[in-house]
Amino acid sequence: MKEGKTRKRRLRRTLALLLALITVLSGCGSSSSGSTDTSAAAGESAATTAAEVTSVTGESEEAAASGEAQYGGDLRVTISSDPASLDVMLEDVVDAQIPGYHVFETAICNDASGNIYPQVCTYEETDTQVILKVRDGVTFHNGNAVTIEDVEASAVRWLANVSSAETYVGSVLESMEIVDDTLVFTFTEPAPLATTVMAFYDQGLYIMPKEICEKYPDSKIADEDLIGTGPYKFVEHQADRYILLEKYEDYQPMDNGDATGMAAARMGYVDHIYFYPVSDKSARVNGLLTGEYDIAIGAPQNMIDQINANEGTEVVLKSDEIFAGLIFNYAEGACTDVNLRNAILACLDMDELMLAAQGSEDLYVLNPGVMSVNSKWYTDESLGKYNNVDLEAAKEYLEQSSYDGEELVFITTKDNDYFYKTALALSEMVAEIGINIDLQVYDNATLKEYRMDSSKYDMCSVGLSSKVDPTQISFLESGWAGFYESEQKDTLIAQMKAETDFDKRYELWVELTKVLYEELPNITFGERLMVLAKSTSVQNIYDGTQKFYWNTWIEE
Amino acid sequence: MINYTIRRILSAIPTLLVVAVVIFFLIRCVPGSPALTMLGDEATVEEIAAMEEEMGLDQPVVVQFVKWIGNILKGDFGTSIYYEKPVLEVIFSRMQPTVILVIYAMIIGIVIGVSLGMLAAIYRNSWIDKVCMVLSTLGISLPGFWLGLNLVLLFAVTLGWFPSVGYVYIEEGGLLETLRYLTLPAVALGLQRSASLARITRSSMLEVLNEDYIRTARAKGLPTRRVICLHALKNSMNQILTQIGISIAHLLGGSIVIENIFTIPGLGRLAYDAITRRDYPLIQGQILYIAFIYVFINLIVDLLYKFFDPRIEFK
Repeated sequence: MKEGKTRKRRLRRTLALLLALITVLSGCGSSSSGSTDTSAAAGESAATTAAEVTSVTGESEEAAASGEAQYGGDLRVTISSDPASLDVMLEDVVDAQIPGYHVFETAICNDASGNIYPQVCTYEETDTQVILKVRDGVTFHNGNAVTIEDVEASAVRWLANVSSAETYVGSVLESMEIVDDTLVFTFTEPAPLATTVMAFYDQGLYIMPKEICEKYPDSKIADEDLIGTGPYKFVEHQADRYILLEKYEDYQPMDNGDATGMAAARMGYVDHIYFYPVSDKSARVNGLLTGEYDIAIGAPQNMIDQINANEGTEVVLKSDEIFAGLIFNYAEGACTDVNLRNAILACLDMDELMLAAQGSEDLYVLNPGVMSVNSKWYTDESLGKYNNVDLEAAKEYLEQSSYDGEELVFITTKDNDYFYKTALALSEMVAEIGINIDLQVYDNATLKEYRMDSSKYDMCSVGLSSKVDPTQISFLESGWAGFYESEQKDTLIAQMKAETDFDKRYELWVELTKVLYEELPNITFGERLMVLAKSTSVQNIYDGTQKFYWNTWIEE
Repeated sequence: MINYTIRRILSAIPTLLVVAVVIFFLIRCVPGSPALTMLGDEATVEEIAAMEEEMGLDQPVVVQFVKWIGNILKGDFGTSIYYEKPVLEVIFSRMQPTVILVIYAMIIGIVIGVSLGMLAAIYRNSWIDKVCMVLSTLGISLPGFWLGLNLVLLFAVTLGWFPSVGYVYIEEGGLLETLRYLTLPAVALGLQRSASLARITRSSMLEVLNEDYIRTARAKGLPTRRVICLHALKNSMNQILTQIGISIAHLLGGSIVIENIFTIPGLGRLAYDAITRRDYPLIQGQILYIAFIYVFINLIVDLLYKFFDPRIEFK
């Protein structure tokens, strides 16, 4: 009898403990969602005051505020996905490029504004020639000195595999030959963008050993052959776990004076950099909060308060030079009517759209174009149409158009949540003047396929990324989504490609921007900022847009 | 028994063939081109068409299928479009975390589920029974990802007892360190499975507890623990085993979400990435592989029936 009572007591205790656990878990969940709602609602005030905001003019406030640089330690950084390879010459996926450009370096490089500086090579440039010469003391990670033959082999591989290389260099290349200790590119006509594409971090002219170029003439370089000249050398890539880079002790930094961005001297402060592929944004932040990571790129807006409230972590806002917007189907359907496109634009309150996209007014910059406010190409020209809500004008445009009340198919995705949120907000805005939208939501892979098929949509959500030169913008090509064809556009682009003087090229770009607002193949809502969450001990985060960590150190 | 096993293995071939046909044609019905994965966002229509031709995707689907099946019969599952490595090599490289996670979660599920089910059956219609069944209903209702996120908040972020993300291979940090990384995801997965196991255990135990031989065992003075564990539980095991077999399939499916939340480099995460990238050979290879595991586990379960119930004969 007594034994039975004791057993019952034990049972009750066990069950009470289980119930308590469930209650704690449920309570935890509800408090979590509660705080999420609160932070989302109060995002404007709380996030602003706590966040350390990097100036969108390109100057890093944090860099100025940092103390003395310190060497040593390991830096653990997140990237969004596991790259298939780190062959930066062939990979156009940013998650491959980020670790990749710590290992490999371009012959010449860009600063944060797109100006050209020496890197592995020094250079001379005339209208019809570019001459590269290997900088003294530059060695590969295997200890071999970089030779002009390595540069030539890299250039051959680059011209054979990279479409921008073929477009801006290969198509006008008369000869490429080694003269003494230089590599001379001679062009049949002026090639003003030759050095720009060579210097660009995205599939630029990366220098690799000749034997590696010959081993992989048109395929991606295997991990065991990742031998570059950068401040970090490749150690290992464990698929879906991490990529490990180690400081290259014999690295010779290029002194480019006060150059910014990737043109600044590359110091290599930390001993090791781990890149962790983490696709889930919450997991990135949780990993930061529990000390698994030092930097979590692209944290959700509604976790800013939590990050700042946690001792030892903080938020920095960075320009990502990604533009939220849409492209119209220029080839077929209702949106081939420019009056309908203008009617839609006249309905759009860009602040509301960007607020819907980003959740806080601190997380975007209004920008009518597709070149960042940090870029030397930035212009606010929009013929007065951008963010100028005028429903009467919209109705007039609509009356002049052939629109008959049919539903316009707007394809979007929730995989990039700002695509869907802006599409939804836009649908409500244009409904006020009687434009009906059929919002079709797909996964990202489907959206990418459908946007290349003119029979599938009238409008399509896009996140356009800034380019080092405006002529490289995707939707300006008639073969890309939207299928934008225009004689005026083609003429101006041809003139820009032939012109070498920047001021004249800039004038042409402003003219082209006006044409874009006349013909309206796309609408830009604004420029997004990104939430970078980091440990407070991490100092001197990259300026500009490219995510490099050779000048970041860890404060003890 | 050997004949039975061989027959079962042979009968699995048509099952796997059906899976192969369904997955091959189903994945091609879903929009999204692998060529875009290869070429990136900036590719033009012409470049995509050229890449599809190079990858053989412009050929009739039936031709592609015959080639694929022909290669599989030769042991070649193809090459992953994204990783540019043999499919089997990619799959095997992600095996360890998923296998350990599923086993760990299954153990948690069995320990909690069978215990709750036994308690509920022994104290049927009492408050203990009701509490156990409420808990199992709760377990079935809670989505794994929600449970996972809350476990992270409580045990990783707030208390700091477990890591919130990542995985350490056994050969790097030893089994204990591996289990430390897998505890939260295994609990998230295991609690869900324990709920259904508790219900099955309760119902099968109730049936057995009413049998004459249990009354006889009690009447001849055997201790309750011996009656329950040795006689009642053993004779309930066939239904529980069936549920365990089904649970393993559920756990393999559940690992897709949980491995993404906890950033575990396993088969679940690989499957998710392969689908988002439309990596056809990898998706096909992985689903065939999982189907094979499922068939194999069912075979083991069937063979174990004989152990718990010697009356069963394999014909």
